[in-house]
Amino acid sequence: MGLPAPEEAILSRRDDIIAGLKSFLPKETILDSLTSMRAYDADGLSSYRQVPLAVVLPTTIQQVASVMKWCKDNQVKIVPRGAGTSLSGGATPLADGILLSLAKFNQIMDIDYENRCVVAQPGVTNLAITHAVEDAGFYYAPDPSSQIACSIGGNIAENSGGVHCLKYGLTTNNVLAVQIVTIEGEIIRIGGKHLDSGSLDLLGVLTGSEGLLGVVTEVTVRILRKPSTQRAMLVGFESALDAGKAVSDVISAGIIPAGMEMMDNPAIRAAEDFVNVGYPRDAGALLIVELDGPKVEVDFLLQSVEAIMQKAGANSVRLSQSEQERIDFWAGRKAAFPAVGRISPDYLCMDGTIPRKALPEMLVKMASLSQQYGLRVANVFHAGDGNLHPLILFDANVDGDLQRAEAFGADILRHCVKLGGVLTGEHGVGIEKRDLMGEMFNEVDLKQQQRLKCAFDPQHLLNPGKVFPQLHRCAELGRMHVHHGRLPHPDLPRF
Amino acid sequence: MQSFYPEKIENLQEIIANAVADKTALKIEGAATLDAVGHPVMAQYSVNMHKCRGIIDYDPAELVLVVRAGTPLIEIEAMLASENQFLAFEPPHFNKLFDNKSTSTSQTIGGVVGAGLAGSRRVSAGSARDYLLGFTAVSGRAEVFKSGSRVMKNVTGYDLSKLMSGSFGTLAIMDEITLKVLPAPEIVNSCVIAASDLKSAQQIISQVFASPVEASGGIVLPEKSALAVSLDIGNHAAAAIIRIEGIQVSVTDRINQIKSMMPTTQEIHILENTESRNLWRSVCDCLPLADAEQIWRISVPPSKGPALFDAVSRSTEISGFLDWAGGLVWIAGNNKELHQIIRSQIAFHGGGHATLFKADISLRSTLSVFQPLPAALHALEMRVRNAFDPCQILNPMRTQPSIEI
Repeated sequence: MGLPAPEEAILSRRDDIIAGLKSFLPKETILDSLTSMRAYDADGLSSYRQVPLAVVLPTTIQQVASVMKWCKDNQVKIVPRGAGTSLSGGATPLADGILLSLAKFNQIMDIDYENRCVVAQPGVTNLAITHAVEDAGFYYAPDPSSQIACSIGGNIAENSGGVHCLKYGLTTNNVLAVQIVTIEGEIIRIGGKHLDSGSLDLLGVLTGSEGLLGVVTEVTVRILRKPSTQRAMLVGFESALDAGKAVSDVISAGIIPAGMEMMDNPAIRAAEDFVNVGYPRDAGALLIVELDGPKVEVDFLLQSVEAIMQKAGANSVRLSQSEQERIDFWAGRKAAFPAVGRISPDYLCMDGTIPRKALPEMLVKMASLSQQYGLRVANVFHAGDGNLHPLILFDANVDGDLQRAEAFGADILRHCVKLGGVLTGEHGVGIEKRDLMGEMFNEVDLKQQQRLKCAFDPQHLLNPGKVFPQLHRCAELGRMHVHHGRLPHPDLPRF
Repeated sequence: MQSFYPEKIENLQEIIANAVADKTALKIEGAATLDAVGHPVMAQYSVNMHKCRGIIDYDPAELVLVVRAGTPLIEIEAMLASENQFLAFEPPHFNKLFDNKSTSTSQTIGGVVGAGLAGSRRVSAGSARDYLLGFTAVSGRAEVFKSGSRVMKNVTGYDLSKLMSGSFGTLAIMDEITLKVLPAPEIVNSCVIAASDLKSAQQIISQVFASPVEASGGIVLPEKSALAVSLDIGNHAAAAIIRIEGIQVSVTDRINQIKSMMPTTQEIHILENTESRNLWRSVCDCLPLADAEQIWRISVPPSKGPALFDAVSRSTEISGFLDWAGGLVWIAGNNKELHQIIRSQIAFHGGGHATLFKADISLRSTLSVFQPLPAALHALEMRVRNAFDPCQILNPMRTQPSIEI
């Protein structure tokens, strides 16, 4: 893992590049001193730090367009950045590229209750959208753990998820439109307040493209009416295997809870010690199951779920009796990462997804890897959709510990793929999983993805070094090699 | 036109490789139900996918279905129903719309996903795009590639599934298709609420969708369309029909909530299970317009649907109805200028997307079937197409957009 070696030719032009940007941008939009740029040298993947060539904080879409065009004309790379909360290094700066921060685009432009959508600038935080509409009883469904800080533009780039994905989908299922600025400096609007935009679904492919295709300057998202009742159930199990079985039983019974989360014993203990909300410290695994909807439905389904849990061997079942108690149930889960941060100097958070039925095999593998690498691991799962968040505990001050933790993480992800799963469920590839892409995709698959990249950014100026282990030149990718077995009589229909 | 009937993905690859080498175009078809959607395809050969069929894997507990593109939709729906599951995007069955004497029900899953279709549940549950987890396909470069996976939550690499859904086979030919499936609702009831005009009917739906009732669909039927599906709405000009699904106790409760939202004088007629299901099936399949020659399918912000429909009907005689809580406007008419009227009304009402969904070949050859795009977006879309099918082998011109003037 690492960033591509910076181009000396660009580094040596640094003063000219900064002067060039200053020639058309207000000076307060450019940070170029080492001290002022320090705050931008990493995102949520904080083991990787790099001060960029310069930080640009535009305040208008026109300025974004001018920066993009200027950079293209001058062959300067751009790393877009929202709130910098990416856990995969999506916004890790490049020494020979500018960091384009959208932080100043922090206004909500339009709240349209009639059409149940909100138009926001990309720097608006995920939670701010819900805050803006909650008085009217609405909310924005995707809720990544970082929702208090992460920006909606970053959510588009990463196709962010959250604990309620199983029922409400990821970002991609909740976005109606974006306005992007291309590397050419063109401002393009894709989608609208209507549902289907016809033609090719470029909106769908921009979502989750990790800042490699364009810079998002405006977002339209759907908002939903808050369910009238939300209740959660806290269920303790002897083992994660029993809990995993219970999760499958719930879904097999035709019930799709709003959220279904699992924590293993180390995660339970860390969380309980941190927030004291009454998690069963001795349980081998804990499930938090949340149901939402009309009160009668929630009450009815909770009974069914409770019966399923008991039958699956639950040791303890607690139902939230008040809204405060429901929030408390979640408090430990939502604080799981900082809680684990308290019991270990450092941790790496992984993000693979597996078919749910493969959970037992995965857990066995993780335990053996933990022994092999001599590193502890605490597990937090979005159990309903098979998305795992193993937290690998290590100490960066111990020589070689980070590398061991990374190797452990990579082995976990390889095993996810082996079990029919994927490298990343919601955190993105970034630089973190870039070199593992070959585990999931072959060369033809990756080249096809890169051809899409070429349609947007043929010179690879947008966020290079992320997602793809190897960048091919677009001219080379475009070439056709027709050498497949020609039929002797191609005119004759066969098969 | 001569046809290929590939059975394996290797056959598909060979056909495309030959087409690339010979610079011949291919028309891609499943059951050819939607043959008349899009610009006419000029091709030397057709590739018929119906031998690329079969269920590869269905795991109800994982909510995942893997099928080959040529598998008939009804076969899939029957199999899912046996496990009390369904395709939540409610794929329309357009056999009767395009051939009202048709007794065939063989629409393929590849066709449904390729056309990016969804029924009335689009507004609450999403479209085919939202359920396509992954695929294997052969591109117009004659290369076999895959994207996505078999799991619910995946952000590894670009989400090419979104591009494939709705591309009408113009980028690549899908072979293996992985879909997310969901538990089917036990009870499907409907509230029929009469209204004096389309706007007030749509506002009733809007009010319900802004409440915690969780309706799964909302349609507005003008009197004529209601009659066409044998729905009696008395002497009223229109009716709002709201679908409530789920377990019995919840459905009853939510219908009571809807009743309590309406003025006490408002009559609400409840349709129960079979009657209710049949109505939604007919509307999803666009049966109110089954006899029409020229049909437009128009996606607009839901609140603009009634105004758009009324404005067009003031210019010329039309029939039609609104789905997606007002956001999908179906319009049928015979006026030669209908396309101009519709496109100018879309612009007037703040944008949207109109597709000439059913028309004879001459109209589809001369008009822009899809909404014209702004120049920069058009250029971008052409570059994306070129990334998959640089020689324009696959369904050439079928979905070719024009540039907005």
